[in-house]
Amino acid sequence: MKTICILIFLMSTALLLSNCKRSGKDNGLTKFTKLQNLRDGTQIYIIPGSGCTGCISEIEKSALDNKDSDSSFYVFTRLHSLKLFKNRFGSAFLERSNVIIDTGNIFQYENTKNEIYPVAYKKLNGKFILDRYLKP
Amino acid sequence: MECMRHMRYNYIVVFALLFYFGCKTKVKSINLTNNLYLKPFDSLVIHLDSLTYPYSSNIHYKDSILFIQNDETNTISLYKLSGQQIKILDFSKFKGSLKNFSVNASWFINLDSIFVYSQNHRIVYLFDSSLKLKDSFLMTQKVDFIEGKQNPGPRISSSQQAVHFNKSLFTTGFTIGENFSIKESDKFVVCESRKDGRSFYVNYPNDYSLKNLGGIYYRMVYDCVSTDSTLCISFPASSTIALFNLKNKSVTYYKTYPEISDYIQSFKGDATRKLEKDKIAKHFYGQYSFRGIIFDKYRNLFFRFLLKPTTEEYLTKMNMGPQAKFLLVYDSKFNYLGYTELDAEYSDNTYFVTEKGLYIKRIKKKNDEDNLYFDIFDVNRFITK
Repeated sequence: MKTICILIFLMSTALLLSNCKRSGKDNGLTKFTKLQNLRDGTQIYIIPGSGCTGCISEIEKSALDNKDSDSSFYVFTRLHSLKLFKNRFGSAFLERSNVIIDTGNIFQYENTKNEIYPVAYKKLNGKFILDRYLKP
Repeated sequence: MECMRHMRYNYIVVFALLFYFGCKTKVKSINLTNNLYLKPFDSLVIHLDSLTYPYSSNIHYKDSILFIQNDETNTISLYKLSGQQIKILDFSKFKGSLKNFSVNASWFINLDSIFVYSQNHRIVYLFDSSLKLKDSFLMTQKVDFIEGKQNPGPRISSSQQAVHFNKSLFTTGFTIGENFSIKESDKFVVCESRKDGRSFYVNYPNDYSLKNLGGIYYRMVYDCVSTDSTLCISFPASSTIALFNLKNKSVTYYKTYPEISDYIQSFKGDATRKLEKDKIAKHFYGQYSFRGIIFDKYRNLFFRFLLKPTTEEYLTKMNMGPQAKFLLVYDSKFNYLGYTELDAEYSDNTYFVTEKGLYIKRIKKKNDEDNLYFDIFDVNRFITK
């Protein structure tokens, strides 16, 4: 019984510490070089490799249309295959200044239940603010 | 104050976790006899070009040709086992002439008979070596989804093989949902497509009538062509195998080792609700299931995959793909011979047999998309003289 109590105490303390430390989950966007020094108002779209097919195709089309735009950036994350992605969009697409391929899955969804949807962020006062999930 | 509130909350979480893990029923383990029956004795590496997709679900081998469908690009790559690329078949021109055409599944009999399934059209097209259209087959159409019957939508892949026989095309497949209002005898898994229409055959084995299986993954069937006129069907939730005779359309069921119905729990939920998708996936991947079946015509053997439950680590991350597995070996009468345990890096859907042995695809390096790796399993001791 004593061991269980100690175990519960230790687990609670660990949970407590992790909670206190984790106020405001880091979505990882600050780690992308191309997203440094963006001006306020810039839109950043995160596009998952699979999920809501219609929602994803719509924002992919926007990425294709907005070549090298400095007001819209597109982060492709959770790709099943980089090769398939290259064959689909062409190597030149990957080189665009406003396209980021998140091969290391650095971006983290703030709400994991929405991982199947693209999500839009806005740069405001130097921070990336969650704007909306692109749901049907 | 904020931290005190967290502390109180954490005590509740810890007690809930202790209660959950304490009461959770564990999946019973299947213990098989005759381990290490097959051993890898050689391997093969095919270096792929920039177009060829190593994770394709349509990789076939026939007459010294390795056939690889490249998803998204409407192309098919042909390789020799020596690694030399023979050619790339490019079907993208049909996108212009046939609206919404796409290569969603494909296979071949020889280079003059290449089959391509276009999902948007619900049609399988047959092309010759110069990609001229020779024939076409209508797959299950809207008109076939009739009340009181469950007719299968086609599933064509390396482990779900279609067969062209006597001017008909036979495919296996399934319909989503448990559909309790439909009798099991009215649920079919084989479709015959002819010029004058379609017919449906082969019911699920009896094990399927006893429980709610979630309506998706356990309903998806796998098959291989065992002789020129026999389709051998593997059902994920049943030890029973069906042999479907393409000539006289008769079905014979064989009970095989091991019996797994006691190891599969019923799905506790409403399989018709979209919101239950994650729950259904966890129910399936958290338990045992049979997958593809392979016929070795050189040695008259059958191999069947039995997948182990996904580890708790992957289940909680909802990353359910990687599963360790047993490769079971049977003789031509489905008498069990033995098994070999394979880790999660071995594919359960990409394999082929040659005179040399059984080739099974393996992921050797994470994110290596430029090579296709196979391990070759020694089966030659089974040759009957």
